[in-house]
Amino acid sequence: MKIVGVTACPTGIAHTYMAQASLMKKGKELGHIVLIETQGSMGIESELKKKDIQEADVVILAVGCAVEGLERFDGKKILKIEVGEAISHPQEVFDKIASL
Amino acid sequence: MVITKNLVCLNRPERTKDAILDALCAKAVEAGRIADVQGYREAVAKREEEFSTALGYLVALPHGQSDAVTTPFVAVATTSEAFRWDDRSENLVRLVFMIGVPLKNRENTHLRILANISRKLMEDEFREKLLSLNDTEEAFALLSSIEA
Repeated sequence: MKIVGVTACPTGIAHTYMAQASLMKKGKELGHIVLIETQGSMGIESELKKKDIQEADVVILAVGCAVEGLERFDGKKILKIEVGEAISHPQEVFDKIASL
Repeated sequence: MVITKNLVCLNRPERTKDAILDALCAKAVEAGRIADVQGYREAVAKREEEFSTALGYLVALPHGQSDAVTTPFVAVATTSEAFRWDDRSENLVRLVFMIGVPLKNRENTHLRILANISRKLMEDEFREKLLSLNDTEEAFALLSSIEA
């Protein structure tokens, strides 16, 4: 599967990036293509490309605060989870995706 | 430098969140990174209230954004035994990365290092290596390699 996502947390200093790494690592293990945009203390990074969003089967939103650009995902299958869940239980996140 | 050698301590005897935070705050004050411990601790406590920063993997990343912080830093401790971080989760902790960031005068270079460290902590090999070390010098060298 091709999966895109956004991670963000209230301070945007640590968990935004841990969640990104966690989802990408687990996704790779499971043979998915995973692209994660971070909206943290340095602003938007690894910004998702239109084409990638279009091609994505699922969008993961692992956010603990308001994020920008949600309209980009209109009409897509979206899984919304806690940032902590992305970090602590990435396998369960992908299980949820499989059963969407 | 976000991490300096005097911000790293290994095999600490502390067994509670407050005790290890006290120990790391003392290090950060010594290193001239925090001007007002009380103010910094309040910022850390406020962050922990949002959700626990112990999210498994034996790691906790308490962090505070406050003008009590003079220069961005990460103070790192390993404890000799795993302990329970707080009442809200069962997660045990042996690796504590205590982060401080000022509200003003923050540079992207520092924030980037913090982001890189956070990502690195998701690598099993990195955590295992850090937990296996008994020499502060070696631990510092390992941690510095992330900053580069």
